[in-house]
This record gives sequence, structure tokens and C-alpha cells, in this order.
Amino acid sequence: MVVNTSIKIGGVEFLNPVIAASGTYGFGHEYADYVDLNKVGGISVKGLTLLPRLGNNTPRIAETPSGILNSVGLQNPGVDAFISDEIPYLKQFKTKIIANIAGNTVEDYIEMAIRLDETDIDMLEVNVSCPNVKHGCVAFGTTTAGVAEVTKAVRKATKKPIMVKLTPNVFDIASIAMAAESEGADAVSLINTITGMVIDVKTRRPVLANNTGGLSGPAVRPVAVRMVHEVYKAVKIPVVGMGGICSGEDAIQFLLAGATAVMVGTWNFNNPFACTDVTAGIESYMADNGIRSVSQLTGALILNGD
Amino acid sequence: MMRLNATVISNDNFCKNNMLMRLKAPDIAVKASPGQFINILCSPDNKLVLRRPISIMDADAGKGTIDIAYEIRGEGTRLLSERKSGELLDVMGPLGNGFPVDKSFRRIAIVGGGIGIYPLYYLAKKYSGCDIDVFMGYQCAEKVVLRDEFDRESCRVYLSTDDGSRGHGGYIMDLFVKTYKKGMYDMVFVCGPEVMSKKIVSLVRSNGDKSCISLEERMGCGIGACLVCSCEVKTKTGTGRMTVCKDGPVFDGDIVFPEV
Repeated sequence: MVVNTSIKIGGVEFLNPVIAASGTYGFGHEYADYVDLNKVGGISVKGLTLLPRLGNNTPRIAETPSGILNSVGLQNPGVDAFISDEIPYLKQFKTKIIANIAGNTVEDYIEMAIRLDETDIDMLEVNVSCPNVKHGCVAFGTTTAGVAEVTKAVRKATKKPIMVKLTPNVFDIASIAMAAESEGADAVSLINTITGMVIDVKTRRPVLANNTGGLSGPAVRPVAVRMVHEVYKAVKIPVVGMGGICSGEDAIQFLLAGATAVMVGTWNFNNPFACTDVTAGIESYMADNGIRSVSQLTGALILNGD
Repeated sequence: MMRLNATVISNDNFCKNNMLMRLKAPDIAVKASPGQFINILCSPDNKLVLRRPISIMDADAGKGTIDIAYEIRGEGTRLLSERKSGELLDVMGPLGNGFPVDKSFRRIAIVGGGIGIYPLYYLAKKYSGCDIDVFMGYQCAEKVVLRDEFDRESCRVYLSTDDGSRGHGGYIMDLFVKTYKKGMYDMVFVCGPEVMSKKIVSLVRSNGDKSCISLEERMGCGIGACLVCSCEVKTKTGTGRMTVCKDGPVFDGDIVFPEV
């Protein structure tokens, strides 16, 4: 059975619904020895800031039960270096290029959106959810007003489709998503990491130099699936779901909960072929269940009691 | 660089709390250079998210084998220590930049502390025929391994234990400091605890000599994508950051530890 895995978000057609999550896939070339990037639906690149950032001190990672806690702190070469050094490389492949931007201020987001508007990127992912930097970013993402303000400003600054990446560290993620939608977001992606801490009991100090970090991996998956479903019910724009996806079946959970596409993050560290393996898993699920188009799965969840 | 299934040939006690594992991995054995590492899924049922990076201690291209030695420190290395011969191990490698092998060097020093000694063995073999001084420091006599192997490859072996139970008593860095004179070596290769590495690199650097150092840092992806294992380095304009997994783990001693 031939299955159609292509999906559309904000007018951009992705070959398949599996996107590499920001911060786990570098700028793509790091994985090119292992994976044919033509077969990765999209790549959301390492979070960019207006100026280069050195990031936090090390250790920046700790393993946790079924997950990891990280605090890289947005180390990146800056948006201009991304434009000159990375876009031309990524442009050779069929994968869609998503520029993840993180700002200290609204003006940072605007300036980055303007600089990226004339480039070959396919979409902007507005990161209002990084928990590992002191200023800006997640400070915008935890209130409806903050998300609305950033979304509105970026919407005005660019013609590119914009996807707002949401933090799970909020009381009501659906209302945050609605704020993004009402100010012109083409999609929302969720979840970013859940803030956490790991303590070394010998030293009585947190393992991470930054004390706290963001939890990701299979440990967060049920939380993420639940939040994707809540957001799916609240907005009309596409939802891109992520959180601990390791297999095709994991991805199917997100699609059923309401996601149009998924992102694979932490599992790339375990399995460098994770993105293409997840796509293959989705395809075999579709073939086994007689599903011709992947979009038929979006929101096809049957709730108990219905 | 590749991901493949390597067959465990043996996995035996090496010294107190340390294991020596031989793997059949012809593709890695052919490509491996000293100082590079492999990134291993330690758990047979894949219950740990992260791989464990372990340095290559020796490689035999003819036999298609590589040796790794590791200390049992946490859950990952404990699971690795339970793997039996004949089992398949999911590994990525060889990864990272290794030590330079420059046959024009006439005299070199190899300085290792604790488990940092292991990757230096393959390096000593690559410099076979060169005038080599080896400085090896261990915690205690029960942890002394590779003594005879280094003897075969080197001209002089300096051995110390922290508690004085074998060889010189005290730290190997102090023995190196006493022995070293400006201009003595074409290159000083270092791998071990940070305090040792810093002391040796800064001494050698301040004398205008060259050193190469292998750094250790907690890693995520192992291939330069996640930027978790970042280290500070000197740049033309000040300081910057590089990845230990991809830019390293071996760095030019002139650029590491910008603060010393």
C-alpha cells in the first residue's frame, strides 16, 4: 500500500511529518554522515540569538530516569553566521529549514525575523520557551500577554510562516496557544522542556552548573501528549507535537492527540537514525491500518466515554 | 564515523573496579586513531537514554578488533560491565579528533593519570621507535595496569601511586614537573584529571613547548550537534567555545584552559 506522509503547515509542504527538534540536531550537517537529510521532513536548527552566545557553564547535561536534563543556555553562532554559513548547506536538501529564534527582548525577535525574511528558510519557530537563559525567552512564553506581544511583533516583521514554540511550565497551555493564534501564528509547537533539577547527594550540589535545566525524553511524553491534545482542541492552526518520541508508535500517539506533525529531539542522541526510523514506523503503522494519508490521523483519537 | 553492531569478544576485570573489553569492529579498527572514542549503548534493552563515550585503548586493524577499558562509575558502565562475550553492542565511532601522530618528533612525553592512561597506550604504540618518556600515575598498586605494555613501547617509564603503594609516592604531575626541562620534548601528550592536565599544560605552555591534551566532559550526542560538552578555549579575539566530542577530545595545549 502506498501511503502519503506529506503534510502542510503554513503553506509549507513537508515530505513527511517528522521534524528534527531544535537543539538536538545542530544545523543538520552534524547528522549528515548518518542520515540522508533529504528524508528528514524538516530541521528546526539550534536556537538562534541576535548576537553569538557562549551558553552556560558545564556540566550541561544529566541523565534522569527515561530522560535527560539539559542546560546549554542557547550557545549559538548568532543569526548572521547562520544565514551566511548554514543556510546554503541546508538548502541542498529536500528537508524544510526552520529557523528557531530566541530573544532577550521583543526587539531581538523583530530584528532576527527581518534578517531571516529574505533568506531561503522555510519557516520561523519563535522560541518563547527556553528555560535556561536569564533574560527574555521563557519570560515571554509563560503569559498570554507575552506570547501575544512577541507573536504580533514577529508577524509584522516577516512574510515567512511562523510557528510559536510553547513551554509546558504554565498552568493553562491552551490559552497560551490561543494567544499565539490570535496574533497570527501559523502553527504552534510543543512541548519545550519541563524545568527540573538533579542533586548530587555527595556534594549536595545540583549536577548542572546552571542548577536547573530542562527535562526531555520519554519521561515527559505523557505530559506532552496530554498538552498537545488540550491545545488541539483550543486552536484551529496546526499543532506540532514533541516530547520523548522514540518510535513510529510514539509519533502516532501525538498525531492522534491532534498533532499535524511531530518533532524528534532527545532520541537523536540515542539513535542517530531516530528521525528516519520514526518516519518508517509511521509508514508501517499506516500500511498496517489501511491509512492512506497521514493527515487522516490528526486528532483521530477516540476518547473513552465518547 | 558510523553506527554498527560490534561483537563483544571479551569483557573482563582489568583492575579494581575497572574492566577491559575487546570488541570485534573491523570498520572502527581500521579507522581509529589514538585519542578517539566510541559511543556505546550500554543497556541491552536500551533503557538508558544516553550513550557512554569510552576512549579507544588499542586497535588491531589486522584482526579487526578494538580494546576499551573503563571504570565502573554509574549505571551505564555497570550495565556495560555485565555484557558477555558473543553479545552485540550498538556503537558509534570512531568519533572525535585524536592525537596527532608526527613521525618527525624525536622525543615525546606521555603523561596519564588514572583512567586517562588507557587511551595513551594506543598513542605510545603509534610512536613506536620514537624516544618516549611515559609518566603514569595511579591511585594505588591494585590499579596499576599496562606497566609492561608501556615498557615495551617506551624508553623510560615513571610510575607513581597517590598512596605510595607502588613506584613513587604522590601525584604523577609532580614527578613530571621535577623531570621536565624546557625544550626537552617535541610534544607532551596529556590525559587525566583536570587538575593534573591544567598543571602540566600551563607549565609546558609557559616554557614555549608544545602539548596536546585530551579533555573529558559529560556528552549528549557525541557528534557535535547538541553542544552539551562545551569547553572554553582561547581564540584570536579572546575566548570561545568548542565541543569536546567533535572538535576534541584532543586539543592543542596552547588553546585550552584560557584562565591559566
